[in-house]
Amino acid sequence: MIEVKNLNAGYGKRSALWNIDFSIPLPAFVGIIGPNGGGKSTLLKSILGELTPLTGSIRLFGKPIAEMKNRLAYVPQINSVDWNFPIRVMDVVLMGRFRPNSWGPFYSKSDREKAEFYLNAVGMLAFSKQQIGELSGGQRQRVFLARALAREADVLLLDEPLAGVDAGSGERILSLLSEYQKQGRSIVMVHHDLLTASTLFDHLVLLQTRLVAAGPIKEVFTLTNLQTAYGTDVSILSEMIHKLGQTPANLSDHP
Amino acid sequence: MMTFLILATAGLLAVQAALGGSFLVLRRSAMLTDAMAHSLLPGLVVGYLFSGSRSGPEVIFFAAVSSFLSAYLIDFLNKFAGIWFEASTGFVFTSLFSIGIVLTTALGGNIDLDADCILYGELLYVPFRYSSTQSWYDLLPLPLWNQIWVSFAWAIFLFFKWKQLKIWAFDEGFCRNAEIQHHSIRRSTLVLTSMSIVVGFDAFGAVLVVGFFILPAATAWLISKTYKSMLLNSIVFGVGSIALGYVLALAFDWEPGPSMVCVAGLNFMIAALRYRQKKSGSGFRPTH
Repeated sequence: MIEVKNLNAGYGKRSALWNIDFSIPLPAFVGIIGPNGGGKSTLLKSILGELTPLTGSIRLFGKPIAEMKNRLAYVPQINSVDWNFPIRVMDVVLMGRFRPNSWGPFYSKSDREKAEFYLNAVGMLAFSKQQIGELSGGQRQRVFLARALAREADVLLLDEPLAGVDAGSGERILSLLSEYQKQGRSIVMVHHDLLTASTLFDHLVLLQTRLVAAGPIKEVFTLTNLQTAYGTDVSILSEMIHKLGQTPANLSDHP
Repeated sequence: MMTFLILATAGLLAVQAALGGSFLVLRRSAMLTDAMAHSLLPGLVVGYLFSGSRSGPEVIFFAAVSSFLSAYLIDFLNKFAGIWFEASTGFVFTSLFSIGIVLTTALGGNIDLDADCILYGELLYVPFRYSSTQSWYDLLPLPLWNQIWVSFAWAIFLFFKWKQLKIWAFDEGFCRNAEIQHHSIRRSTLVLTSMSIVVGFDAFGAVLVVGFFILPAATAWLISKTYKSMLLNSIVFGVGSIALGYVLALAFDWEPGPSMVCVAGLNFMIAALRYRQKKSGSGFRPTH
């Protein structure tokens, strides 16, 4: 269960999120959607504990998030890292296997196997000996995803993991995430593509600086809610909902 | 034998400086070593007042504390008061260095500290400085013992914290996620660095110690693909510059400390030019 109570969060004194209240039972595949500047990343950072809420609280499995950090994994924003750092792809993924009680300079054989497994899962095993700076943006994103997956944490937090990733690898990542979620783990993911959102997630949080709706996707993904959040042209939205009702399986093929 | 003692002392310093310098170069705070090397002066004077000698354990302790405090103060001004990193560095070390100079002159002729030995050290006197306790400790000169103890501390730290150091150096944000106390890792690194600076300062002087912290590490950074190879390369460059610099000093009758640093500087220039050629057009390594 993830519970957000009366959350106000932002940067400095400027609030980016107002009075957010919701709770979603876990395990679940939760999408955070909403227009640009709607506070999606702010909510994710608050859950992660990177951003201290101005008011309110967030609890995970009944405990404050500060105590639950070891059960979270996340993919950092790609520009927060020094890409000239002399480190190989494999070593980055191995970091995901670090445990606070481990000591000594070496990772175990099983840690290496796990790292290889997840590196393979994101389609980057062939690059394992390359320096991280030699990769393209999308490839780096996949390596960091592999590191987060390798933590095998209960809750995986992602901020638009498909940004800058080509269509082929994007599909691969999405199917990987579904697989990960089926193992009884949870994923909370900021997402901007409404078409894929409608089939990918089982729960949604719809934000427009305030909470528009949160809960099971069938209750949240409605025309009224989307209009409230996006205020976009009604016909596009209604067409989409219509399509969704008829052929949900085909929607994920669209870009 | 004397050559061996000098080279062993300088070589151990080069190894420590390569390790400490690598982390600081990777964390983009290489010039902290400069600040720390200058800021040890007030501690040196206080230690001298306590012990009456220039190389006793009291001196090393106070100098290391004062040098570590400068790094801490710089971080503090930077993080909590929001002062630009370069500005707080400049402020802290010039102030502490000046306080040290004022203290030195205030004590007048009572203290055997002059600008030359602060800046250039007394490498050639290393083989003549013994503890004179009439025990097994007299087997090796004092500066060499100091280097051995600090190298030992580095080795233990690296062995137990290797993974944490690597994660911290690469991605501080991930430390929070992986429950690594990155503040304590940084602090421990700086404590060891200040110890290396203080024991190295004794033989090399402030300016040359800084050279050994930054140059081999920066050279290794330019040519290395992995973290381990960067550490090893910086040790190779550091120790290599010591050996070659010493040979040159003997051959041409130069001052040994500065000629070692010259070799290290030359090494860096060659690596930088080759790096530029390899990445032709892109200039020096960009920050992102």
